[in-house]
Amino acid sequence: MDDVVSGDARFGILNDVPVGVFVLRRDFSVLFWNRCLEDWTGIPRSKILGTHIGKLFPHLTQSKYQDRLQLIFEGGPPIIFSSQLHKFLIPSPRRNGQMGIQHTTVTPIQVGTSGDYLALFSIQDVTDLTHRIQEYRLMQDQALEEIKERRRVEDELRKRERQQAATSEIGAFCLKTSDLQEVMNKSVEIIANTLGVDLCKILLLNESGDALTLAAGVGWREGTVGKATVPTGPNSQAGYTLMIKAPVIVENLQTEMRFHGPPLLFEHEVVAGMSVPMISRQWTIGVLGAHSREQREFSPDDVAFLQNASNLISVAIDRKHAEESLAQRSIRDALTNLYNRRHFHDRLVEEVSRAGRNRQPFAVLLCDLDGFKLVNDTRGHQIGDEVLKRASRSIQESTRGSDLIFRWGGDEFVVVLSNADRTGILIAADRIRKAIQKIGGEFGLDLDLSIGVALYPEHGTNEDELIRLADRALYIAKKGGYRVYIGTEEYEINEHSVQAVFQPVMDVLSNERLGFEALCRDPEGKLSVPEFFKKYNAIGQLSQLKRICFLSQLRIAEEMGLKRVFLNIDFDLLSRVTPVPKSAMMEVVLEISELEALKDLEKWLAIAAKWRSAGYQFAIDDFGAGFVSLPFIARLIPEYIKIDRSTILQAVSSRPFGGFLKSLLQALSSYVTKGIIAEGVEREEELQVVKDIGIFMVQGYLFGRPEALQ
Amino acid sequence: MNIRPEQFDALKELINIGVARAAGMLNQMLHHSINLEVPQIKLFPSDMLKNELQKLGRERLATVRMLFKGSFSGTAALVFPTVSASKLAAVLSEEDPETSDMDSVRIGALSEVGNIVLNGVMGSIGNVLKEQISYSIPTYLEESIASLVATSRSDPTGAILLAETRFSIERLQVGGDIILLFESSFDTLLAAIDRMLEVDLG
Repeated sequence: MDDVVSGDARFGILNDVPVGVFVLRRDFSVLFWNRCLEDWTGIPRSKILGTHIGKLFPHLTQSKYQDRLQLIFEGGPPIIFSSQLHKFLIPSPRRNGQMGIQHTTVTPIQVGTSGDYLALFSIQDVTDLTHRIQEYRLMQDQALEEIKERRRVEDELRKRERQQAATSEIGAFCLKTSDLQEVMNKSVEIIANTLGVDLCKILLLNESGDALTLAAGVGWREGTVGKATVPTGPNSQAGYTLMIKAPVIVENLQTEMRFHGPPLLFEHEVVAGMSVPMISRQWTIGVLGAHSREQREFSPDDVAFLQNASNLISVAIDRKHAEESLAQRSIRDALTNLYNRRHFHDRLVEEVSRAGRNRQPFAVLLCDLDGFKLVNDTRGHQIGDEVLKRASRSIQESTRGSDLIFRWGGDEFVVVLSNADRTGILIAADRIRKAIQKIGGEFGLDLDLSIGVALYPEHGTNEDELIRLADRALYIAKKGGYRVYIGTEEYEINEHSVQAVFQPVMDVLSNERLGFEALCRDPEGKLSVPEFFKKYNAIGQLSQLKRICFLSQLRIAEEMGLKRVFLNIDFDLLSRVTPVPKSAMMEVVLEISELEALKDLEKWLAIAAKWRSAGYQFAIDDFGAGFVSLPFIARLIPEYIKIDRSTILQAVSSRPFGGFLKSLLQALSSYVTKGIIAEGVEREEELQVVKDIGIFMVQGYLFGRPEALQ
Repeated sequence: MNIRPEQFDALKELINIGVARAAGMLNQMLHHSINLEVPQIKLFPSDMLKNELQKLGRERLATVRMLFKGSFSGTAALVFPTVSASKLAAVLSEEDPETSDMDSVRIGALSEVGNIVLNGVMGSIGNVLKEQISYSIPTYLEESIASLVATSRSDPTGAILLAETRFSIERLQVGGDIILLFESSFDTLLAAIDRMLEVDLG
């Protein structure tokens, strides 16, 4: 009771404060215990005063309290037992059974002037405060949670927005770009960026459908894109995707069971990924994939994004293919499926630029199907079309794949032979011709090709030049009978272009040689005389050839010291050439075909007079084979008349005609100063008839062929 | 004002004992060992105090401060960078330092830690010197260290004795300073030290 009295006497004022207060002596016995503590603990002061505090609250005997409190009794600094570190000092159950939370300070109180101190504990109940703080914290946590959730949703929305923007970007790119490779390259880049993956790829199914080629991608090793292939079927993620025609998501490639062994992915240390089929109009054309080197999840949004991108790219690929086939159709001839004339321009531009780059020549062959018009006329257009189709195919089959073939017109074709020399061109042309001839045989037709060839760069460096030259070459090929003709270079005509040959003219009465008729031949001996002249006629150089012949024959005859020579000439030549001076020792007889003498009689007579005054004589050639221009003969009065072989033969076979001819020639003889010559006499029988008619000047194989003079 | 070297050494030892004792208590609470450096003690005119304190850093610091008065008076303070304070409070209260209302936790817990450390130091000094000193209840402040001066009413003409000990809890990467400012007449303090020295010598 002493304690109650002494404690209350001193600290009674603290009974009414709303704070738990108690006082300990140095021996830890309780000196004061206020009402508040009685309320809190349910321990009346009567029960606790004078008692060691540890008896009722054993935890206070722990050294973490004892050691600190000890100093208080030495007058040391106040002590704090915070609610955060201790929750409570004196257990005070509240109504809900939980302990009240307390903040405690302990201060020393000096007892009189002795060095003795008491420890005054004041305990503040901070339960409500703490709870409020906790509630506040909870609210804050909730708010934080909400913010987090909102952020997550926002992130998701933002991601979706990003993916939608990316999808639009791919779509827009597909629309504006016609280069498919560029579309694919750009798309994989956008997809990789949007999904944040290390690798993205477009695999396209090859034509045979047994493998997929890495057509575009990002993140793959150098040299992989455009080359690497992946098998179809369950031996790759892409193959498996194709099989099931649905998205395939792989969280860990190492533990994947649905398919196995895609070395391409393992080589690139891929861990996770997803792939979707590329489908266009029900056709699966490839696989679009996105892969990560780290473990990651792909959300349904991610898959939807990839599938959308895949659809866009697939449509772009499909559209491109459709465009290509349309373009293919518009550049081809409907009947033969060869390239058409319209396409020639584009391809020739390409060919010219390639040839320029590689310094390789190429040849343009303009081919004309000889004999085709007759097919249409006689066999009908249906057969004609069939022939054209077969001819086209055979041209294709007899050229290289790199050669380009165009249908140029009705029965004309153009073949562009790349990197070919003259020999190669001739071989190719020959092969094409043989093929055409064979087709002709199959149809029972006489078909052949005439081919005019122009060379790049020799004959031209652009479409116009090359085609114009090929056209001229074709003309020469046809008219000159060459079939194949390269270039249009003018024939350089000189004395070597022709060979002068001489055929003796005999006096069969005296058996003496009167002279020679000079003729021209192909110096190479390939062409017959008509062919030879036809060739020069075709290239417009016939008159020049004739002039060369004339001068060459005249020169040789003079050199050989011939007494008399008959030279074939026409008025056209005579009108252009001034009379060539000739040796007075040699008699030169100009043979004029009567056909040419028909027109412009006066003019020709004037020209003849000019030549005559220069010492030349005249003979009417081919008499009996064509028109007889009697007025011309009557006015000219030629030195000789030469009777054509056909007329002789007629006389041989018909006695009455022989009689007629004899009478005619007798009548004519007064208009010929030197005589009548029979040409082309080959047999004795013919000679006999000629003699019977009264012709004694004769030439023909019987007396000698035209030959070069030695 | 002169302080003899042996008085310096004795004061160092006193502070060292006190800090070591405080460290022992903290150790008990934290279950982590605490490293202490040897205290540094400086004597300088009180108008130089601000400069001296600024050498300790200009940033905002968490400070638990206790004023003492009696035969010698001054300020005892435990000073942490706020990052250290947060970590320490978190360890003590087992709360996540990243979340929530750290302030209430920090104030409560750090006040008690400051209380333990400062009581350890001051208690041991007071105890050894047997001098009458009264103490304020420790208060928690977050401010720059220079404001310690503004709030302590020191005699501008007097001298100041500054004792500083750096401590660190390596495992927690927590560090801080224990600062004691003895203001003006510390004749009593020095006399008490002398007495203590005599007793020891005797």
